[in-house]
Amino acid sequence: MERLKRLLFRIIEKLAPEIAENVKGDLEELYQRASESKGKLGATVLLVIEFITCFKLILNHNGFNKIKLTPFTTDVKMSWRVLVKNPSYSVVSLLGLTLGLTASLMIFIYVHNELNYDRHHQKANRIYRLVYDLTDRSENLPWAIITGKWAPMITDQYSEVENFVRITPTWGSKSLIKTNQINTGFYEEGFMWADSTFTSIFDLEWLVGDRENPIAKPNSIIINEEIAVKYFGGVDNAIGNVINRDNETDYIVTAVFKNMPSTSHFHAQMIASIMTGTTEEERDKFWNYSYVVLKDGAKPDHLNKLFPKLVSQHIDSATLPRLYLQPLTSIYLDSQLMYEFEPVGNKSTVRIFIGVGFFILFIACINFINLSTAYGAKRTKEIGIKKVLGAHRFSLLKQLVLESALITMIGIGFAVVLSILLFPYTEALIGKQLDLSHLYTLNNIAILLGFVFLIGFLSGAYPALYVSSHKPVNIFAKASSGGRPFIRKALSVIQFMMSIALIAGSITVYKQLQYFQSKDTGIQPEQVLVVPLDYAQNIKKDHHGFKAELEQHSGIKSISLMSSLPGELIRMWVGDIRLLHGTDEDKLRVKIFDSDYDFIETLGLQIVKGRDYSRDYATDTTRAVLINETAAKALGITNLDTTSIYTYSNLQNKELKVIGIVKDFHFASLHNIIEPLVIYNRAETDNKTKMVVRIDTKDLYNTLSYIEETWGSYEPDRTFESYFLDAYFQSKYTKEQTAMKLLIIFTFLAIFIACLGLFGLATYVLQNRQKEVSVRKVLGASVGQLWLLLTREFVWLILISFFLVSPLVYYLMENWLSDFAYRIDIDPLIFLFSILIVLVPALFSVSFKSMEIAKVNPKDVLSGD
Amino acid sequence: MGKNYLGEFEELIMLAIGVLGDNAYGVSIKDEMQTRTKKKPSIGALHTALQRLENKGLVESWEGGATNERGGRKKRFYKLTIFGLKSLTQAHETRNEMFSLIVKPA
Repeated sequence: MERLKRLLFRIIEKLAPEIAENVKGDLEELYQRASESKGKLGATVLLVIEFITCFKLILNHNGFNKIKLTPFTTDVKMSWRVLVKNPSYSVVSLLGLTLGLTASLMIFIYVHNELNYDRHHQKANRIYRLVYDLTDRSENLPWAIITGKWAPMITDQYSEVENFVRITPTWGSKSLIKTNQINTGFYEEGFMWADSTFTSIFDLEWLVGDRENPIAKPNSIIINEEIAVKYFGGVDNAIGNVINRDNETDYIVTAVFKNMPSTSHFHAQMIASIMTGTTEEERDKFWNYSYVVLKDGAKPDHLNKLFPKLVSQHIDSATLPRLYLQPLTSIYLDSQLMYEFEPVGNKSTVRIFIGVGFFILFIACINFINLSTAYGAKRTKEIGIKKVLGAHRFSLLKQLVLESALITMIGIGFAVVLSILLFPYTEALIGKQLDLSHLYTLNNIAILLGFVFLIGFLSGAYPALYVSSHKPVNIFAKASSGGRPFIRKALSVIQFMMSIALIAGSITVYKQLQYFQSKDTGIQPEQVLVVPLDYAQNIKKDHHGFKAELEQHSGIKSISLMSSLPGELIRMWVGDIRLLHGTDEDKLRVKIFDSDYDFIETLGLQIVKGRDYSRDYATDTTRAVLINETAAKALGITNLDTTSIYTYSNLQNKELKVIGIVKDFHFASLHNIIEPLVIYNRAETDNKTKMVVRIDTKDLYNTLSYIEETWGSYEPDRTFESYFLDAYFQSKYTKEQTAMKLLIIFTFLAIFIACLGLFGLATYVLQNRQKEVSVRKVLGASVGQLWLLLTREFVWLILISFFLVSPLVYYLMENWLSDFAYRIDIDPLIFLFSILIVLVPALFSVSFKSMEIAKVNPKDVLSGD
Repeated sequence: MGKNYLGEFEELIMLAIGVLGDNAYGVSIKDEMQTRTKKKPSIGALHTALQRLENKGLVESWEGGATNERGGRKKRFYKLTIFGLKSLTQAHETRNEMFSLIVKPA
């Protein structure tokens, strides 16, 4: 509610800045007063109503009062009366239009948001990310990260590059933050180190403090509003205070910035100077995200062509990485790199939504056209009289078009208000906060108004032309034939095609995403608790003792330490192996889990051959290794007793015995196929960042508090933190779930609108056949036969649309599915189902109308003639 | 009458401003009109009219201090100009004059 208020205020501010203060003050006062007497909801409703009354004020303010509308007023009055006189027509067409427009506005907001990532930086068009592509013949390794030396090097080397910044995140671990005022810390995300140039390359909205060069000195840090309020009780108190990270380093706050907008591909809460505790040499070696700003007019392609030479000068290897510049604004939607800051968006999902938005809009427009044609046919007598009395065709046209423009305008008005009211729900549905300040600008409103007239004109023009074209003689002499059936039918076919496409499409998407989520990952994440171990030095030092103590509890089944969670790619190592007697040619690139005893049992994995690590064999921590089926297949391992592998330097040049083969499981995301994997069991714990505990959930509370107590006795300075593995997996697919929810809602909406249109169309067509029906009835046709006669035409239309659209849908869906590593096959049943979904409500509404007409006593119809 | 013709709504607003004296701003004018006439002017209509009156030179306005109930926003106070008061008086007098001339039904 507060956000809605702020949004409305921002609209006033944008559109009428001079009077904004005054009007906002009054609105605020009324709002406060109303929220005391009527509660929040009542106050908000009041606020929205008052806001709407300010439209004219805002228009006047922008010079609209100078435009004289008098020539139109009579027409508007006439149109208004026509609408009020025919409530069923007005309500049905308004309902369809409003729903359609609201849905497309909401989709527009969503798509606008997805398409506008990272555009808020002033230099956005000149900022590029320097990335490192290690892809070679055998594998695909496009990385978003790079070592520190490259960005300064190319800035030095090429005059086109203006500046660079390197950002080092905490690689997925949370930071324990304490201050000089609060000694009980909290774990926070979004801690980063960056070069001092960060603030001159990326735009932050400053609140207080040094804006010029706040992170130039070592141990300086800038924090966002949220952290400032949480730790220092306010933005103003933060400056000069100390923030401590992980009981190690102190940083002094030099400035506070506003929380970064949701449309940023990374979200920093705290940015510390990269100079802190590092030497230049170290900084050059660290992996980080590197960004460069090019000078005005510089071409990134030109630089991309120069890079291979530079790379070959600095790297001595057979396969050279490909260095290239990636535009900042394309990172969110176009990038498919590994080790991204945050999950990026999905271009094909955005495309689907753009398509859905247009479909819904189109369906709503066609509806409107069909309805106004239908209704126009009823009005031929009125038009005829007008013509006889000397009305020009132009003035008739003007009035008819204006009528549809009026409905469109009211529809758009409703849609805008509805979408504002539904905004909080849109946000909840999408699952992120949207920034709307750049959406409701005068420009966009002008576009919206233009749109009103375009839709109004287009959908008003056909019925208007058709209705006004009749010669009065024809109108009065014989019953109207009801327009050109071909156009009417073509429009309905298009409408059905779109509905069928939407339904079939969304069922496919739904099934794929369903399949995706329910796909057996090979891991049993239920009842598995994850405890992050970052910086828990005491536990790492004595993990045997810690584990032993935990295992005493009856609620705990097994425990294992590990380097990264499944799906947590950023922490995964990569290495090379080959069979002991193989050659370098057979080298295989593998992913590595650095684990501990009981890894298999805790995650619920299966051994297909051989055995798990066991404490009974002393060599299991030094000379043994587990591999997955994919790796075994790639190496051609069949007999375990004689199989040893050799690991290359990135795995310490060791000879290891394969003691078991693990059934393939999805250790990365379901977006990726299963790659060769090696599961290590090293005694060293420096690399272990997570502890996974399989527990019995019978006495969950007791078990959890036991773990927490034990943790406390080891790590008194560190807050205990834990979460369940299945919840973590679920959270990985929230984007897909959001898309699914939205798609279902919009599809149902589209079906509803289409049926509304069909109902209107049926009314129109059937009314024109009333006489025919009556004559048939007199000649002895039964109600059933008449029903068949009248309904048949619509069934034909639906079948034709179905055959026209199916190949297209099949092609598009096949295309969409090909992006997934694990996908469903398109089931013909989907098509059957989608035609049923269209057919059933369509038949229902047509039958309803047919029966109504078939039941009429012929006497009442025919007596008029 | 003529050029200085005041609409009913405008006249009511000016009267409310006159009644309120030093305390005439958006919400108080709205409240005053509501209690006196039982009609609820909307904020949008009110400000549109106020702006028109100001453009015509019938009222003038200045910014006052910020208050808490307005979320720290400043009030804009209105008062009748001498010209405004004159127009109002004129309208009033014309009306009184005409009212006194009504031919009473026998």
